Amino acid sequence: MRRKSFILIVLLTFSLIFTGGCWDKIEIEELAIVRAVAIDYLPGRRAPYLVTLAVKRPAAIGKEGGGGGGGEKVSLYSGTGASIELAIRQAAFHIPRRIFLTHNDLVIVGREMAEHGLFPVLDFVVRNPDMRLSAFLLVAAESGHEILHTAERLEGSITDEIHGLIEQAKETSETQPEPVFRFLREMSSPGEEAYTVSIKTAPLPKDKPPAANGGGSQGNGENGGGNAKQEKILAMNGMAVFRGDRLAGILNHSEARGKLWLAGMTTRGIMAVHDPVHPEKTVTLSLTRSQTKITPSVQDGRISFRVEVEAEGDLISQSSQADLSTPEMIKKLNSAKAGAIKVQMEKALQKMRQLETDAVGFGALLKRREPKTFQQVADRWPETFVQLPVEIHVKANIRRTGMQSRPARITR
Amino acid sequence: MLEKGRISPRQTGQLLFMTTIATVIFFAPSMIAGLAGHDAWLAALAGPMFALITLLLIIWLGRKHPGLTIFQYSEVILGRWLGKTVALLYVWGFLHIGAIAVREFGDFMTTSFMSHTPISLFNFSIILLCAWSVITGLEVIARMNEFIIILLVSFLLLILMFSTPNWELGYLLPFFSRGAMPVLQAALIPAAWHGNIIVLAVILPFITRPARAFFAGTAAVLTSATLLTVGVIGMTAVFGPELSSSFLFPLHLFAQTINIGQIITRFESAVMTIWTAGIFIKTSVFYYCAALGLAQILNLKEVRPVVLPLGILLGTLSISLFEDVTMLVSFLEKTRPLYTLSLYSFGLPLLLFAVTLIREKIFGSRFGEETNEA
Repeated sequence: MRRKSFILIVLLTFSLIFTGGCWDKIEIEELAIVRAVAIDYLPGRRAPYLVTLAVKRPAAIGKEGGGGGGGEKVSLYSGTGASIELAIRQAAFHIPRRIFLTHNDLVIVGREMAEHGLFPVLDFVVRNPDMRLSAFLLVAAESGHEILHTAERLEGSITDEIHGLIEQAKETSETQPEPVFRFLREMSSPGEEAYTVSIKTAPLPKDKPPAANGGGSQGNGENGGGNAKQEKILAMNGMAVFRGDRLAGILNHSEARGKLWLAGMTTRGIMAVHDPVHPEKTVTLSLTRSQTKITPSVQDGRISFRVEVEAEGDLISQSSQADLSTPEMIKKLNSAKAGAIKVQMEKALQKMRQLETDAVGFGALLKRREPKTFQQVADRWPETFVQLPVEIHVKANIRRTGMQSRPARITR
Repeated sequence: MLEKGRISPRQTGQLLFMTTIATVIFFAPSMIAGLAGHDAWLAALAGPMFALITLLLIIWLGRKHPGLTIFQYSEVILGRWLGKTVALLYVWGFLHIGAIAVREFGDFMTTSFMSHTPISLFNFSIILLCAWSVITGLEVIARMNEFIIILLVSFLLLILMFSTPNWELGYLLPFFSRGAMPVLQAALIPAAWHGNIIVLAVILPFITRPARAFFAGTAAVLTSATLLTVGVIGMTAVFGPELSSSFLFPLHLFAQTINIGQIITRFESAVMTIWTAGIFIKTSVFYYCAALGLAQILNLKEVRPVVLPLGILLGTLSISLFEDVTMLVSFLEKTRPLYTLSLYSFGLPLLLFAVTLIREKIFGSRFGEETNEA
């Protein structure tokens, strides 16, 4: 008995060495936590991939007295290589820590990369066990490198700023950010094409008083670069639509909204229509809820689609002083709104036809309803889709007029 | 008697459920999707058909030979040498399936979580743990399983539930887009896993109420098939058939897509928990069956002496069976359904059944009476 317990004690003590987790320890202080990856393609180079990593800067606690801003800032590292991994390796030459990709949730690809084909990027994200399929995919209007090198204005770091921007754009139904797995799903399914949000850098609007600019750079303290960076800000750039893994084109804001109407993804947001009484003035309407139904039909081998949209919303402002609160006026506004929505959808459709990409997934719907018909055209779906008639019916309802029914008459 | 412990029919059902679901939900969905496309879930639903036939055969044989395991009654039916050969084949079969499970475990761990750790470390550590549970006996394994099953099922259901915002059920349509043949062909893949029900032929004599064994087995097969079907539906709805067929460990990536308001994320750790716990039970059961079988063939008084040698065999097999992960996957996809179904889950029980019938009807032998009280 005594011998047995002695052996047990020795074994347990010995096991402490291995089970304590000290064997393969990875201390958080030794990690370079990557928050965003930007991948660009430089055509004609031997090492065409340019990868930029946004590494969370460890909070400098007690080391530096001053310095504004929080500890959320990121440091940027770039490298080039013949593959994405090689480019990351090269970037790692400058990083004093071990690269840790698990917390990365933004993958930004440059326009050249997207036009060249996203396959290498997607392969990297899926195959690498550290990369997450729930990361958002963004297409930069120019280069991803440039996007990450833009200075943040409100949030602690540029990656938080991007997150906020895409979240807001989604909330206001301007565009739709897609996580990598949804992009992959749409890309790999017959009869539909992938899309995602596009982002750009734009010069700071000129009408801003210059003081706001100077104040911003002061607030950022000693964060390198300084004023040269401050001149460009991030902005949403509509929606990037793909054909296979290659960028087909970018839908501008109103086309992107049209695409969202077609796909039934609009949630909140605002839109404007002409005032029924004074056509030169504007009435602004909000969107509260909407529903889209697409019905494919096949008659004598001819395919057509019928899109029905029901959109609800409120009147939120008017620039004329006309009384719009009568049922007749609301009816007119309803039809104006329906017309405006229809125009947006048609614009989006026209652009997608021009780009030969079915980013809404008409083909997938046809496949579900009429698999045999789809089978016949599956091989040349994008070319077929371009010629198919799409009937659009919109029904708009304005339910409320805000806190006021009609403007109070202004007496002179 | 080699095994003194007794387990209840409920525990039996739970053990059988576990031996299937622990690995099928990790590997099968992508293979099924590769063959059946949109109809993967129909294939998953059709999977247990074969297992129910196997179950009927096992129960029938068990009624004929109450108190005997398959290793013992194959000797009674086929005679000493032929019977021992069949029993040895089964020992090899359990060892083989166990080794595959261990290898799957090691490959998943090294691929997804710790790519620099040698696979032998994972394999041998889980085998060591399983060896311990085999020595303690069936009853302990069954009781342990009662706890682990709650863990596994609740985590699986949580993962499925939290992923529903990503579901796009349209990807399940249209039904039978490629015809019924690919669906049947794909159904063989989960059928190979459901064929693990053959374990019941070993543990049948240790059930407190053998009459309830059929119900326990059916329930195990049907619940594991249902869970697999829901899993396949979820994976098809989140990834689409093409994408999910390209994955090596679809459940792992499935858990990665969960993102509810940036708060409920990173369910991969739950996947690893399920995986480790499930593989532990599954390997223990197969290891136990192999050890008990060998002990019975050699007429040993206890299981203990064969546990360590079998464990070493299990460990070396788990490493040397497959050169790399592509070999493992192609084995699971192409070879395994035919191999396990034709031999262990279907072929050999059918042989025993046929020989029993022939001997009874033609040669007038009687089975069952003399071993009634054993």
